[in-house]
Amino acid sequence: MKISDFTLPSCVEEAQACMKSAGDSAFFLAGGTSIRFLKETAEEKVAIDVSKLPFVGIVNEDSAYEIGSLTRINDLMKYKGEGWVLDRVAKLVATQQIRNMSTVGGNIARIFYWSDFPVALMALDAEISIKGNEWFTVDADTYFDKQPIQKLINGNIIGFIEIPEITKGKGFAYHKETRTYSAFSTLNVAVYVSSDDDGVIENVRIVIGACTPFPVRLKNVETQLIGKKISELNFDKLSLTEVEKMSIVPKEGMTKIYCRHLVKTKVKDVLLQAVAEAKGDCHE
Amino acid sequence: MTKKKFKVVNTSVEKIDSLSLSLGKPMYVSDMMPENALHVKMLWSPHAHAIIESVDISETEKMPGVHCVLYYGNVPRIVHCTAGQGYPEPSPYDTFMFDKKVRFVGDRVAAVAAETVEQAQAALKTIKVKYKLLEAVLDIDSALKKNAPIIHDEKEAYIPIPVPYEPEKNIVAIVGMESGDFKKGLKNADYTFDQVFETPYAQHCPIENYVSLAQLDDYERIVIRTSTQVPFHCRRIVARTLDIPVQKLRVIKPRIGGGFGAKQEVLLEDIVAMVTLRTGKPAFWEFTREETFRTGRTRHPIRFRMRYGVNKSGSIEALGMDAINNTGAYGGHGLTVMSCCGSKVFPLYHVDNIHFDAKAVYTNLPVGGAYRGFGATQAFFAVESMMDIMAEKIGMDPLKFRTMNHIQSGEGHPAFAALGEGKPGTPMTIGSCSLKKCVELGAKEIDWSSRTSHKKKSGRIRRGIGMATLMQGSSVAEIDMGACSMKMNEDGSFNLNCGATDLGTGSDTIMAQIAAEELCTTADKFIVYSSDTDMTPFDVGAYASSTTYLSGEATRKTAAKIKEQILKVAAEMLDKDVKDLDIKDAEVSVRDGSGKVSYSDISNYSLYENNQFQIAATESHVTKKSPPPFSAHFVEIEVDTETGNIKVLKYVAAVDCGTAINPILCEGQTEGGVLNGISYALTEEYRFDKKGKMTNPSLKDYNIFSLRDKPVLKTILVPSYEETGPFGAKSVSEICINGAMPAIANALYNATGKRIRTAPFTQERVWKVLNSK
Amino acid sequence: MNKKLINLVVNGEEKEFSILPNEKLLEVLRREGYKGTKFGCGEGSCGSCTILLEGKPVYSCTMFAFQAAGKKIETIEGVGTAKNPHVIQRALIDQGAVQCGFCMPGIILSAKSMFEENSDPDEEYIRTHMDGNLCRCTGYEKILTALENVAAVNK
Repeated sequence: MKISDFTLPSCVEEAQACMKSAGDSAFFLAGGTSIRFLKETAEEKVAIDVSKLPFVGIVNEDSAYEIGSLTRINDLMKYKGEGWVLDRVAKLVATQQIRNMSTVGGNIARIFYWSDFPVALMALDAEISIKGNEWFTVDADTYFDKQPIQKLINGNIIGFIEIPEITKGKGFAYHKETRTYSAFSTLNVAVYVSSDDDGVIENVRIVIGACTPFPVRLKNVETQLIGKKISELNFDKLSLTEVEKMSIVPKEGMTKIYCRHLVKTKVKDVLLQAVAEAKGDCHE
Repeated sequence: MTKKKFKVVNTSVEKIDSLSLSLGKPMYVSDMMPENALHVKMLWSPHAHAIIESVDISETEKMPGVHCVLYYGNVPRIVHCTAGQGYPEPSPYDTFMFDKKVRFVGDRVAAVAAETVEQAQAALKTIKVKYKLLEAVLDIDSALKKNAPIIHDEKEAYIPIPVPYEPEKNIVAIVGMESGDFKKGLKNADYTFDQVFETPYAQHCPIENYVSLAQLDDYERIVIRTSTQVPFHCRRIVARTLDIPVQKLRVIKPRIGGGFGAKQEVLLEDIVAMVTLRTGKPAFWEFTREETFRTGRTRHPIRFRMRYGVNKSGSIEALGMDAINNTGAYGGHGLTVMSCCGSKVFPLYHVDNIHFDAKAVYTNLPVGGAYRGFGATQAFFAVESMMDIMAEKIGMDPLKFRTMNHIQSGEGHPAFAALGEGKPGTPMTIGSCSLKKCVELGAKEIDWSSRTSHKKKSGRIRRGIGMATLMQGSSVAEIDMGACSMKMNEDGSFNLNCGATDLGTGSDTIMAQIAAEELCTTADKFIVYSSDTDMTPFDVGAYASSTTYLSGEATRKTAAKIKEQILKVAAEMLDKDVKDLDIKDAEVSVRDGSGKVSYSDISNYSLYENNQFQIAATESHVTKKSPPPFSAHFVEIEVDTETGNIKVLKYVAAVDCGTAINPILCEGQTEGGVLNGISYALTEEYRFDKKGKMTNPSLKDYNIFSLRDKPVLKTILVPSYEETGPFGAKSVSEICINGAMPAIANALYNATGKRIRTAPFTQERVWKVLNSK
Repeated sequence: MNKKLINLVVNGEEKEFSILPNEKLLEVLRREGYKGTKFGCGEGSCGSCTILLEGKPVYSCTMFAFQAAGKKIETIEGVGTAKNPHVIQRALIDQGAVQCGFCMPGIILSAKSMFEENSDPDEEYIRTHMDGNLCRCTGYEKILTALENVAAVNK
């Protein structure tokens, strides 16, 4: 794609009107850092620079966080707040220069297999708020199931992402498997767990990505954990045949056998971390 | 060892260009591109092996902005070699500017020069090429099979020196040596071993890509400014390829953004020169990063079969190395890299019975070139792994095993005489060696004794410590030459013009320090200008770890000649004999205290007053030996036995480079080479598809370390004194990259009891090894 | 040829650049004479094209020139002078951290921004904030020492 022209709308209505009238020949530009990953084509498009739109910032309310889609990943990394966990993901994304330009909305508007936030946000059961003609919300499982392009046509634009606070009884852990810090990942694992006052697991969401084109929840593994007491968990007894059976696309010349082994190993590692946090053990 | 007191040498003088470079001054090739330069773009072969049946550029020449289109049909067909080596090159002449055949994905097909990059790229799309696909040879075993496709079947291919070259068998070079009686040695040994090791492709990844600029000066000569390590070889090779006299060319190396061996090659300059010759306009060509990976030179992948015989006492009875080197589609450096697998490695240990047989073969894959370490890096993986394997068999500490077997000062080795670079080598006795101290200090720093407890540990995460002892060389003796010219100015400053090529290594600064030491003045009194074929005398260029030891000595000799002239003038001025005079701190004084003159007094006198002449000298140097630097490397790693992940915790490099002319720069070389060696061992990898196309030509997919990946690095300089080197110096730049692969493999063994023999040590490879029998 | 004019501030100076919408900021900067900003990969990996956008390091090879419209940017030409180098430049020079120098403008700008945000960064902070500037010459050892020295002086 080549950019033939650019415009800088000052409000959402202007941006959406622009997009609606241009249709396929325009696109919303946030940080723009994912354009380098697209195949070069002769197609020309107008860039609608949305960096002036009011979808910036992190607001903490009702034990949840509302994150503006245009918040830079660096800001997610630096933010400090009670039960805030996205810094753990943000600090692993690419490099500082990318974190300064990239937005969290841009990171989920088009899903690449290596993307970090789709996996993490799916584990956190995030709610994605999109402005069309009206505002509507999509839950993470639905949003990340396939390319969100269908939800983002006709001038629809991601506005906010809501995630829970990870406080007492809750835990979240994220792992990115790479050869070097800034390399593409070959496996992303995110685990969210919540437990009640007796330490019984109420909810667990285990999501993997990178070796799958879209984030995938390991629902069978989750089921084995729900209702169990954290202090009585035995990970060795956990059945991971779900990983043996699922479809994977290993990267960097990895074999499927090793990839599945890596998934199983890291899922257990990350689960342990998340569970330790939920239990109240010293973490991070 | 002589303990010398130096005033300038062995001081960390500020690098001459540091300030300008940190201010971002426009000192690199692409900064000098004139606005009206034509931009060159190349059509590269999409096929690994094919005949070009036809090239139709009729539409291309008419495309907007296009000034020149080049392909086999409109350029001279002159066979040559692109390797930057002395003439006649110990490499086959197997390359044409454009051929009617393509031999790897990334080989040249046709070039366009247009007014803008976009116009050049658009024009490329209109070039119509008809290929006839040929069976591709994609590994060394296929290359050597009977009836394998012949990659170089052109009648013009030959090698200009009398050595074996069998292109009809895809053989680029055959190198070997026999010493003593290898078979008998194996028979007599208490234990014998037979193991295979393989090292992979790698790219140097200089942060500045290949880039060249050519333009006509006011006298219609072609001036090439290029990111090169070999300006003089470049001039000669371009003259040959374009069929123009050397006199018509000038090659200048400005500041460049790294080389590491990649730029010891003439890959772009012939094209930009040809475009300028044809159009009269400046021609600029900068590789994309993808082009640097695909078409740029690489490290030669080599497979080693190691056979050893060792005795219970710890003496090594026999060493056998059979190696096959994949040189890719063209043969430059193939022979010399193989020679160095032996010549820069065997002499490290006492072994009487040696067998060495090495072949370099063609494949339809990316082309091997010069890469820091140059065969020694690959061979040390095999040899230093074997040292640990043998030590374990005889129940000896691998440190003790090395210490009892390594060469010492005063000793020689048959490999020195047997292995040259396309001709017999140079016998040599070691004149300086502080390896024992390197081992001692390095072992202390890493806490070598904790190996024993690492061995016993179990559990998922384990630690291990490994080591390697190393050598390299300093220059190519009897073959390579460097020269220097100096003249004195009236304020006691000097112009120092040398051919020696500063890649960012700091050689300009080193030359100033050496000259200053010889001339009893300070380094800042030297205006250093280097690597310009018109203005500086000859130098082979920056390779073979030559710059300090060879070019530095030429500089010292030149300074010594200048000193003689200074003394003569001073004697005339003071009306004394030269033997009554002393030089100190840029002044010549009479020993009895009866008079003195400063350098500026002397220069003014010689330029203006009496018996006027320019105090100046030019001296050349050819080395008589290639004294090895020595090094002991130690590494501590952490292994996750479940995933196979290796994390380097701490790396210690203790280095004997003789006198460190500039200690902080020696450390810097070591640290850079070590980190490169670590990522070479762990993360760097060329991946190919089934048709021989390299599929990860990007810094995103080819992983080198950032600051965030850096482990703890500790460098220890352990001085010795090499009498034949300028102020006792040897070399430092290549040896440092040789240790990581074997040391990490040895550390893995310490941690897990498992031996890895193929690199890079990706997680999966390690995991496989850990789970193998 | 749909050229556009953009206004921005470069190293404190008001500038007007004529740009094509598809051009990256790197190409425009070099064309306008800011040669200290380098081309190393063109794809946001090596960091030699780093500039400061509103004080924060970004890859000029990855951002479009028009994204700088109305903004303040800094290039290496705005950092230090020969007579008066910036403390970061001085530290790198003194530590022998400048080898080929190609990565240096990017390193210096990233470091400058880092110190402006945090005058006393610990090693982990430095590693995280300098992770987008690749160097093949130095092994980063002396770069790290130089930056730690700057932090120590700032204390």
